Amino acid sequence: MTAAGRLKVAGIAVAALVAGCVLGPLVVHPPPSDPVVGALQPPLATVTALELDDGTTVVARRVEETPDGLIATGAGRRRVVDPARVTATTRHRLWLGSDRFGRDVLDQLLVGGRISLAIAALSLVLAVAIGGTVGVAAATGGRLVDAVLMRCVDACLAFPVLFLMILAAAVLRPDPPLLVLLLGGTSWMGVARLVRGQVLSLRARPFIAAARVSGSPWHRIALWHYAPNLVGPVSQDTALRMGDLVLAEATLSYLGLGVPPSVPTWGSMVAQGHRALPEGWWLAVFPGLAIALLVIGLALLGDALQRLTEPGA
Amino acid sequence: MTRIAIRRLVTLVPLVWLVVTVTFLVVQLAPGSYADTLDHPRLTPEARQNLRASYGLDRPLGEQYLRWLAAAATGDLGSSYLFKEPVAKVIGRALPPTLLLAGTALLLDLGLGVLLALAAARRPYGWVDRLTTVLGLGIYGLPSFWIAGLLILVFALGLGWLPASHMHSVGAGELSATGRLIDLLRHLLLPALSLGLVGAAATARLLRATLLEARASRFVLAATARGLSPRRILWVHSLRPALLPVITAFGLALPMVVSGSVVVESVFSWPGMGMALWRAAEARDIPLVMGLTLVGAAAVILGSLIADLLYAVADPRAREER
Repeated sequence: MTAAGRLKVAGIAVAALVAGCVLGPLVVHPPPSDPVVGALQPPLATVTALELDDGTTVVARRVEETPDGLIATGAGRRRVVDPARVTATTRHRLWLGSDRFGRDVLDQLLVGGRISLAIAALSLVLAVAIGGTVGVAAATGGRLVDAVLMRCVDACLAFPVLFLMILAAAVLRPDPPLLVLLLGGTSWMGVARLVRGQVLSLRARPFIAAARVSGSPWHRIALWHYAPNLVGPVSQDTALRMGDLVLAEATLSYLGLGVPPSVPTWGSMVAQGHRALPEGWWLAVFPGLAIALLVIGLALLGDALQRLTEPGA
Repeated sequence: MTRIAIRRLVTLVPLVWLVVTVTFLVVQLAPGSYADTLDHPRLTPEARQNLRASYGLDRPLGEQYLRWLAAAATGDLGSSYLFKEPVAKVIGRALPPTLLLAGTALLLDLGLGVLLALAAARRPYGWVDRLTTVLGLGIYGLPSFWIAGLLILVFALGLGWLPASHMHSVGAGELSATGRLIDLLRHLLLPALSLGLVGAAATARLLRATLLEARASRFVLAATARGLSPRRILWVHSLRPALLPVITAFGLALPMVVSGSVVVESVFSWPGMGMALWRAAEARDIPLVMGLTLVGAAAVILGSLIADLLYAVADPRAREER
């Protein structure tokens, strides 16, 4: 496949996942849930939802009419319903099954993905902001500033970052904003190195010298000469970094250190699914696959961007 | 060589100091202390205050910090609140399992990674190459805890071949020496695989790219012209220069291995540094947290130093530079 073709495929895959998570909960309404009979339905199960007059719903795999009333059976559980109380009957397909509380896994996946994505994206913005500032400052601030900043970057790179992050998360019990600070604050070093290197190599190029000689003010040079040449490498790096952040967030949530347990994210869904492995494989498998799909899509996107922005390669 | 080593060893001290200081601040500034985690209903406020005083937790922050630092400089890490014994002893117990796990994982990482890359580079874009690329990408994208869960599901719960957690079976003490070793290896395999596979995928990906680069170089052309066998060219002439970036990546990957072992240890209840850090952080056991971070950071930084030295061994050019 050509580089442009790969870019298209990877871009479409990532865009579909992101759009699904962001828009999905707005468009698709979750099927009714029932923690008793409807729990732990396998993927692709078709269920019948019986809405009762007290506002609750019974979601069952099979509904049989007997003289005693309607017998609703689910995964190993049954309940007898008085037909007179049923106000409406609808049928749904649970594409990815349901969890222990009878909630649709697909719906949870979309809602959880929204939070995972938001946290990763915001920490990425923070990382690029810090890293970009440090990189530009190091490249333009003179020898001393450069030396000090780059030693700091080296020091931060040598940290067992996730180790510290786990420690901080264990003591601080973060809410989403703090999690963003933690993730972003520990992943800016690579961006700083990249930006510094790019600015230094650009500065030696003739077109920058030409702009300077022709009397362009510094902000004009920064905006029209430096910035466009930084976008390519930084965006490619960003795609890879976003994948790492999604994984880091998932890891923290898996350990129960990310967002509070009441908020679903892909990582915490895998954790809950892991605990329920003997009961239902689908609870852990699908969120894991969602993470993998996103991370791989981002990696391919980064790869394709690199091929496109480096004409020589 | 020696000069580089000495210079790097000297820079190690401030780095470790920095890590330890940051850790101290994080643990101290977080709400709650060890006395609060003792959630005993009959503990009166006065008793709690006494407890705090007996651990020195009522002193000003600066004093606590300097005391710890002064003691640590003489090799005294204090004693753990949680385990009621010297921190050094707790670490001495937790370090060997982690070293065993991380070491095995690193061996798997390098061994599998190099083999896969060599197999793939023999015929670029052949089916072996395509298969390893796809598999490697898949593993790269999957979180290690997910792979761990899958391995448990298949090999422990499904097939029942290997144990799902812990380091020894119940009653392993009564087995013979060989029996104990086999028992340990059976417990080691799944955690080491879940940690090592992710690294192997990354190593294979990187090494394949550098091997292909080496293939296009002039010294390979020269070697081919001299009539050397393709196998010799691949294993001897291409592998050595291609391994250089792998060594660098290895040094950078060490923090990941340490962090990853925290995750994998918690999945498999492996009694190592990660589990200890976990429990210490939960209980606000400050001396133990500090001691574990000190050892962890020193190990990571020493590891990257070793990677640098290995680089100098593998690449003569790096010896003369700095």
